[in-house]
Amino acid sequence: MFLGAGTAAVLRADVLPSARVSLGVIGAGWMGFDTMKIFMGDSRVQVTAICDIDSVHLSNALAAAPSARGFHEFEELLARPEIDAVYMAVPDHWHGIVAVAAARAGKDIYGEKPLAHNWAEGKAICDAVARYGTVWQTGSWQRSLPDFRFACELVRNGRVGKVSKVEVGLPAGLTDWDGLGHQVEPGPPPKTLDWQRWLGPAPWVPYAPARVHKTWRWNYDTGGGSLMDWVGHHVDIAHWGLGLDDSGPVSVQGSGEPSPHPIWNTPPRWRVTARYAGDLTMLISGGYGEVRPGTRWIGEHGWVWVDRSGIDASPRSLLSSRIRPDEVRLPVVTSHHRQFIDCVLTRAETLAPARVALRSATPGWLGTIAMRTGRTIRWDPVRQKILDDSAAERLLARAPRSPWSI
Amino acid sequence: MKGLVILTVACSVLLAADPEALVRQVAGYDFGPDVAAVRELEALAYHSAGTPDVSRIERLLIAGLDSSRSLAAKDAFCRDLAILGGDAAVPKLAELLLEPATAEMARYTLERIPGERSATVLRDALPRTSSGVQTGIVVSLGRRRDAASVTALKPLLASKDARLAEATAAALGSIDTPEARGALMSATPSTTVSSALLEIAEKSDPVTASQIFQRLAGAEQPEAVRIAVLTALARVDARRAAPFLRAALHSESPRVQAIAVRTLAQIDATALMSDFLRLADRARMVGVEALASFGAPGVLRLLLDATRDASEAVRVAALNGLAKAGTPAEIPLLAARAAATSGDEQAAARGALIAIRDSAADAAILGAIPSAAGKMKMELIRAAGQRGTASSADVLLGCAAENDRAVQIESIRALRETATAAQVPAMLALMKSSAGSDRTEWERTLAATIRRSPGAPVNELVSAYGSGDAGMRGSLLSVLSAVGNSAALPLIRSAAADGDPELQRRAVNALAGWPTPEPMSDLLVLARTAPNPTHRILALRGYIQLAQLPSSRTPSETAALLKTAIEAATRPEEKKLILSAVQRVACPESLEIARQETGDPQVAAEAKAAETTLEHELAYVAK
Repeated sequence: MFLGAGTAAVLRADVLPSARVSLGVIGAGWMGFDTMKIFMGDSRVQVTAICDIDSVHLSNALAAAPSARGFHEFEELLARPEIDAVYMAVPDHWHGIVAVAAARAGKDIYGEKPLAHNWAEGKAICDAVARYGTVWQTGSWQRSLPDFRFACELVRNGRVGKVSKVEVGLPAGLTDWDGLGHQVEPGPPPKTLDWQRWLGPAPWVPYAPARVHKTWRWNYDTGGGSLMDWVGHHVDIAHWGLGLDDSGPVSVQGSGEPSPHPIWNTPPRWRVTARYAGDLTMLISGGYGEVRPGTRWIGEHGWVWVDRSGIDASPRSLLSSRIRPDEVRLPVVTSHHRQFIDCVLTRAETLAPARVALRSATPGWLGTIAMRTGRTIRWDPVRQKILDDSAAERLLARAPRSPWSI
Repeated sequence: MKGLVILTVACSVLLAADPEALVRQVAGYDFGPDVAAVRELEALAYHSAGTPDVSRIERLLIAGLDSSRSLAAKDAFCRDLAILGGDAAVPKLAELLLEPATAEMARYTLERIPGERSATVLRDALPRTSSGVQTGIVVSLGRRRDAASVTALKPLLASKDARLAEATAAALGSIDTPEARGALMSATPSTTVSSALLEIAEKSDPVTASQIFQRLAGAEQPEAVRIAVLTALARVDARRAAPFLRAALHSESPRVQAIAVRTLAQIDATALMSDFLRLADRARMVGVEALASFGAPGVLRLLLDATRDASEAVRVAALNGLAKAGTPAEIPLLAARAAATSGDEQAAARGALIAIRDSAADAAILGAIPSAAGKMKMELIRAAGQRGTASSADVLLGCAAENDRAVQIESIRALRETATAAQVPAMLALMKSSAGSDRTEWERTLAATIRRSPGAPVNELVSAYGSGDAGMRGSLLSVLSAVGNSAALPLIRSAAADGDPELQRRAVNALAGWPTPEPMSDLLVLARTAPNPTHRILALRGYIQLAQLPSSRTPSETAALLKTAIEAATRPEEKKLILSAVQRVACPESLEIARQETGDPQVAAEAKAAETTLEHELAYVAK
């Protein structure tokens, strides 16, 4: 269902005048602002609306997109009939509510990873997207980079033989990007931030600068730590290379070290071991240095490793291997963001649809449950249920704070 | 500037072995940095859930609620009860549910506690709470799929509180009893009511689903709902859906059109193809793409016709479709189109030439090359290379020796993907008679060929080096570098000490461009001792580059290499490169390198930036 091997930009507005997309941006902070600029570089796209509940973020974004209208509430943006699609870059705890609302409003969605804060919300997104025929692209843009695609093709075509182990090395630690990590005392929020709405469905806590803007990732109320921050990249690639986009592990174990920070409670270092059918083990590790950053598939005849810094293999001659037309060939997409717009116009499935994002994130959610309970979690990847552990099953979802719900 | 701050949790003694003491600690908690006991108790709750210890911990948590001195403490206990609480926790939570300050924390805890007791408490509280809390309770009852609450929920569908009405519709949709369904079917239409009915339809028998679709198919419904109904009907009853889809092909909404096209391509391709020419450009383009994707019978004929469409977008989509549906018989058309066009259309034709799966396509391409000419010949040669057609090497070698320079170059590039070690002697001979940029193309092709061959054999190259002139030797050094076979390193080392300065330079570049970190020690020696200052700089830059190649080193080990580099650097340009590199190797040793350079005015700004980045990365890594 893709636009063919080596597809160039099929749908140019000068060729097809109707090939124009009106885009709304929901969440215009760090990733939101940067990615909005990427979309603005596509001549088919007009950013016509921006929503952010931080008025500083909103005014910065409006300055960069002067023809856009600003919104404080995403519901008002979604009610605009002229908007065709939205780019969603809100924190994880908001993904489920905003995404389902957008699908119901008939908007196509480019959603940041991970798909959702927890499995149940991710499933709700998938159901809504299927119900409304929404075109969804997950921000797992590594699939659009040639090294990652080639690495996956090598593995899929048996160049390393049967794969018994996958090593996924993710960034660890609790990065303090803006140096606000020491600002942990509760206090009044700035007037520029709608704190109640920012919290949304997350449990109520008092404002502190260390809780918001980028470092929300490091608290389980709003994010899932670096494991969930990166699972939609390197675990997604691991699955893609193994043809597991519609499958998942059968058991997951995990351990994590306690955080030294009073607000950031996700582990700074952790290990998750996921077992799959067919004697395949995936080790997802952050912070221990035992596993190279990136993804490495280890087979009976060698291994392939890939990261944003490059691709490596043993034997090295694999790197010169050519994938033939009659072998498994993965779609060539030169721009993840352009492909989303292409698919909005053609209604084709994207390279990283919601159902795949659910599967990519599942080892992370299960790993988190395993870490927190100290138990091995058994998973049925077909029915997508935790087996024989109702207490752990309870942790696949959480109750949203009133009045929010999906 | 902030120094490295590890914020330790100010805490009293952690009483991990004594849950009662932990509970006492948490009972005195208020929001702030003193979270040790809260974290410890939460961890205990997670570990105890589902184990024989759960009842004991639950009792302690309930007692903790009683003795809590702040809302923060109550919230902490509620969160833990949400993890492991059962019937025993319900009475206490029921009390809290009726207090405004604690209603929310009690509600979301009760939602997570399974069983009839917690459900009863939620139901009973519904008429006794404010609308804000009511909305939360309705949400919880819906998420619990509590059938017993339907009667109480129904009147709330008409609430003037929009959020409450929406939550009620959603809850009834999740609960999905006949009574709930009936209430929704007769409710005032709204987005949430429609969404709830669609959710029910997905789980229902075809008759019930049909009734729901009938209710939702009216023109007053939003486009998103009408689209959902159309596609759901297509899944449930394709025959019944087909006429609606055909009508939607001519909708004024491009989105509705496109969805109708795709859906019909899947369930009734014949109907779509018969309507094809009456569709607008964009819809035809979508149709071509969809029909090719789904492999509809008879699509090849349509694709071939569409390659002549007046719309470029449709032509491009058709060419892309031939990548999936094309056969060897389409090779001449695709090659001719690639030769005659540019831009997207050319790219699509080329893509299809590469992608046609039928293995007879290789023979068709090779067979056409000798008699082809000009641009068509070049497209066929390019396709043979991109397809990696192993049997093409001899044909391509012949083309590489032709008089037409454009054909020569295309052939050399194609050999890059297809030649084997057996063709190396012939390629060396052709490289010897070439010059300039053509020589560079041969270098790349030879390197790629050898890299691809088992063992990456370099003996032919080493032998040719011995008998070659200076120019050829320089080229062979480039090839050996690109191949990266360590058997060539002795030759390259001796070239680095050769009397010919140009050969020396090429040897240093060969080491600096090595694909693995293997010659780093050679580069370090050259960086420190090469007589030519330019070579010293090239060598150091190569060392820095190789230190950043993928490897199994730890960050500390890589930082040690970069420290060696910065000690050998004599110019700010190389120091800046190193400072840029250390930022990507987060470890204390990298931070030390950055700190040390903040005292050098020529690189202070870069050092400072690296220091700040690394401090933020390393601030909260567990020790």
